[in-house]
Amino acid sequence: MQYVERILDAVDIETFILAREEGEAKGLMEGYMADLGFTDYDIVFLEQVGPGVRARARAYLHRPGSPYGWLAEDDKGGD
Amino acid sequence: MATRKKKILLVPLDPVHDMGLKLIRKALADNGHATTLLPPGLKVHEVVEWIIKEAGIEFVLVSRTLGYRVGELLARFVDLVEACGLREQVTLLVGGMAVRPELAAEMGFDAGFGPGTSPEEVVAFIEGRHFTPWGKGEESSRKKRDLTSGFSYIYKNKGIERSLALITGEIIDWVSNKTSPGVERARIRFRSLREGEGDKGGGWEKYQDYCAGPIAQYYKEGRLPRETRTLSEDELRSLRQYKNWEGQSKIIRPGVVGPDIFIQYGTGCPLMDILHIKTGEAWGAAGVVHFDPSEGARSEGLLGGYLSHAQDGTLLTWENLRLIKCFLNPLTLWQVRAHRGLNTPETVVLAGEAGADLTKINMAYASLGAGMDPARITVDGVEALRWAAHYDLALDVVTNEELSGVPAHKAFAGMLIVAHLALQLGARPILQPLFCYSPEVMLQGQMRDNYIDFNAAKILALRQIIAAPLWPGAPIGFLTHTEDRVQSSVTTALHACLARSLGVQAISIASSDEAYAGGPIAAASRVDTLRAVQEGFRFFGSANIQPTPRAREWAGELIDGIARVLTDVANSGSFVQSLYRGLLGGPEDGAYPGRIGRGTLRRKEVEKDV
Amino acid sequence: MFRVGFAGTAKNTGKTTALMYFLRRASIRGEQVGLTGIGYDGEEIDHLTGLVKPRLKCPAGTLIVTAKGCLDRMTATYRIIGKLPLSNALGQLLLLKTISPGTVVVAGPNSGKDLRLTMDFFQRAGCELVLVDGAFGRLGPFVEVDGLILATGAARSANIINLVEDTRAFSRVFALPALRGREEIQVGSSISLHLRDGRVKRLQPASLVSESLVAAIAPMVPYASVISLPGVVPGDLLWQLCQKVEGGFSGKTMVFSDPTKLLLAGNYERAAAALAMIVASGGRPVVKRRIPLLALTVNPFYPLQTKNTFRRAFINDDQLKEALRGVSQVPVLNVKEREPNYYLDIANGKVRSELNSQKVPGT
Repeated sequence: MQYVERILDAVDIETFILAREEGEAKGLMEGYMADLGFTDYDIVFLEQVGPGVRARARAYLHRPGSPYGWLAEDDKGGD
Repeated sequence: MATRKKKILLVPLDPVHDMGLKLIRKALADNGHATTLLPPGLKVHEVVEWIIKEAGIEFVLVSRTLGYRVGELLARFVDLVEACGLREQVTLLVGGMAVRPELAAEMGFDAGFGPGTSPEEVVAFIEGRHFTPWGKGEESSRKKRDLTSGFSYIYKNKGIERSLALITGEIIDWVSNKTSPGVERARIRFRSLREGEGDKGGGWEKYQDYCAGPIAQYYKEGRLPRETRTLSEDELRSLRQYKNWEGQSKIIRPGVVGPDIFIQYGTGCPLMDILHIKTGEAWGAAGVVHFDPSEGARSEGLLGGYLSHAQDGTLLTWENLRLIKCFLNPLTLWQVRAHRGLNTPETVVLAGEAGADLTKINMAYASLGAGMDPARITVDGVEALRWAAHYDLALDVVTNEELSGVPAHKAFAGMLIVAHLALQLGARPILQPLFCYSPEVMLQGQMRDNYIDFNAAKILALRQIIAAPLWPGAPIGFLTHTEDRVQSSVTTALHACLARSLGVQAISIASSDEAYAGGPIAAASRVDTLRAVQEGFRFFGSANIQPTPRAREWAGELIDGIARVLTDVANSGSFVQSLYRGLLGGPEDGAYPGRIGRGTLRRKEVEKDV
Repeated sequence: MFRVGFAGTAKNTGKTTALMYFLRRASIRGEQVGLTGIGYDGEEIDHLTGLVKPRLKCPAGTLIVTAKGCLDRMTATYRIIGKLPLSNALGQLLLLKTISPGTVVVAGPNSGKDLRLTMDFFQRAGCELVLVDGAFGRLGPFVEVDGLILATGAARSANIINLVEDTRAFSRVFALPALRGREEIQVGSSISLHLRDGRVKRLQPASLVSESLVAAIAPMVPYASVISLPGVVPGDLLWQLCQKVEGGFSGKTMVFSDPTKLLLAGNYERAAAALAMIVASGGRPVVKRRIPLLALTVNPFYPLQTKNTFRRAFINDDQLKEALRGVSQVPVLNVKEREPNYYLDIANGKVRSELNSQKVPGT
């Protein structure tokens, strides 16, 4: 089993990112998500106030209708 | 029934003092049981010495925050108790952070109490009263509610009642000699499900004659639309492990009586939906609403099979509905929406046959906000209401046309027409005013100061018109949500608390992904708002939110406006023409009568009753 | 019916791996196997460490006693063939028979008494071999088995020297001889000293659970020929007793109920050291009931805690193997080795011969 198989649908990453404006923060967040190895990701929320941007990125690990890791059965027991 | 008093040893194994144990001690003492609370931080063999020394101990409740080595320690404690010959004399209980029943079982304890356990639950266990070790006992006392029970549907506003009687009489008369492909499909579907085997027989072969576009193609050529696939047997079989999933989780129910909370599901895949439903049920949803794809409302006919597709909204098929039904908690209220498309009557038949509790029908909204031809949807809507009465499905009448700019009083007039029609046809309507930051209030400024007064005014107005159940939706707080999950959860919770304060029967709530359009709703976002609402209900308890006097004024204005619109519709002599002419919302409000299904009505041949 | 227990000295020592090996072999031979556990096992993720565990995979036709609350988590299909008048923290215990192979989750009787009753159910259902899964370091209920596979490893101690000493100590305790068949020693339910003048001194309770008891016993030992300690005897306290007794144990028999009683307080080395001291001074430590140790398995895996999370870690395999050579008379095997089967087969062979000796010829 891989840990990722047990994530029902998505992983959200929330943080505060030092950036002057939301566009910059978006680029930084996207780069970070790619660094983490996610491929199917999006920036859900950005709000620039003060020294940086409150940001939330989301990576979908199991989109509806895709093959779900959490449905994968172990190979049947016995031999 | 008097319970024999028990002797209980309370053991705080954590080095610091334990508030939970003290609360439990008080609850036990209040019920007349004898307790001994040991000092914190004893070694396990010292606890065993205590059990030996204090004769007659029947229960030992150990409290300890669990960590890796702590598990070993507690397991050794159980072993020591047994090896000292005390195991048959005492029942061993463990409580504390991170304690789960599985871990309690693994360590050899007879029961485990995790965080959030109420002292009463421990007392109940000790007294041998009903207790489900894997969840809170509340589940068993939860009843499936009938949202319409206790409502007389008596009108307080007789003027409005008179107008409604005229309008609905005209509608019933007008539709009496008309039929549509939607009406015919519903009848074929009914006969086939009742008389055929599965979807064969009962005249099913004629079904495809009433379908069009991609659906007709599917039945003729067996080709599924793009991005749609049949779920494999393996996938369906593996899902079995999530059956009765709630049996393993703590069911969170607000401790305070409030409206039943509905969540919407419709991820596009029934398997994912089932997991979302199970999550929602566990976090306090009393009901779930099936969201079908908007495309489905625009095509004549429904597909068949266990189908999943990569779009919002889960396909309405007999198999998908049956599958979802299999996994629903028997106490969960289930709504299948039928309100706004070419398949309205057939959807009610499927919902009724699949065992749904509720459906959703509103011809005025379907025409003004969802693109349906007023004539077609009026014929189909009346047929759908008849089916709802046949299956005894309660139905909500939603006023979503407010979102396109129709003022509340016009939307409410449409809602009351459909509700009255439902009553005339023997069905049980539930009024669903929106709690929303609508274009109307943005322009007129009723929510410049607060979100309370105008939403309260809607409830007050409807209550002064008719004694009917109320279910604000859908979802509450519409257009107040942003992509910020904290803001989104808070606004939902506050609107829910307002609804609770106003004493309504149910609410539909959004997830914290409501304003996010970039991808499917995540399960964690559903939990966000359910959790927030629970906290709101806990905060307010039986205290109420006090609207300002403006609420009453606006309620009066709403009633006058509704009465005026209904008089105009009644005087016009045609509900359908009123829709075309904009009496219930027109171009000046941003509402245009739709064209889907235009020209599809036929004169009815010899009536064969179903 | 032969009953094999799979005990561990700690969590994550490889009980499940060893158990599954037995399960497969028995299934190949077509024996009717019963499976239960004194704790909870079968889920993918460890509840405390969050690390992935081996799942319990079960062939079709296995009889299982588990709690109602486990049923939803199994992929094997099954038929419920009986209900036991027992329950644990996950609900009532049920007797199932698997119809198709798949994973199972086992949480069975949590005490020796309940395990005994469970065995009756297995017996009536026609089991030839019953496998009992352990939990954490629990040994108590295993007085109810005919043979024990003991799993130890880095999860008990990640220090090889300590682990080897600990394992050696454990083996020594299990190697204690049984009371000879003809010896007529009344071992009651309390601590008793049979004095040379024929009198019997009895002390409550049965277990040596406090230093005050040690202090009370020690002065009487020189006058006793038999010292019977039927309850729990923590290694520390036995060691203290040895220190306090003057003149040693020459000619004295010290009787314990069974090996587990010396071990379940945790400190194996102290228990073994005390026994060695008794033997060295001429005493004879014995158990009323032996539990044959069929094999020792050693797992180099351990969960390494870093702040709030755990990760998988292993101690050096080769060093471990070398260090464990000659530690015990029973086969010692590393469950992570590619071919642990040879050793397990030796243990399995012992079980087989026991089973055969139980069978009445001609049936």
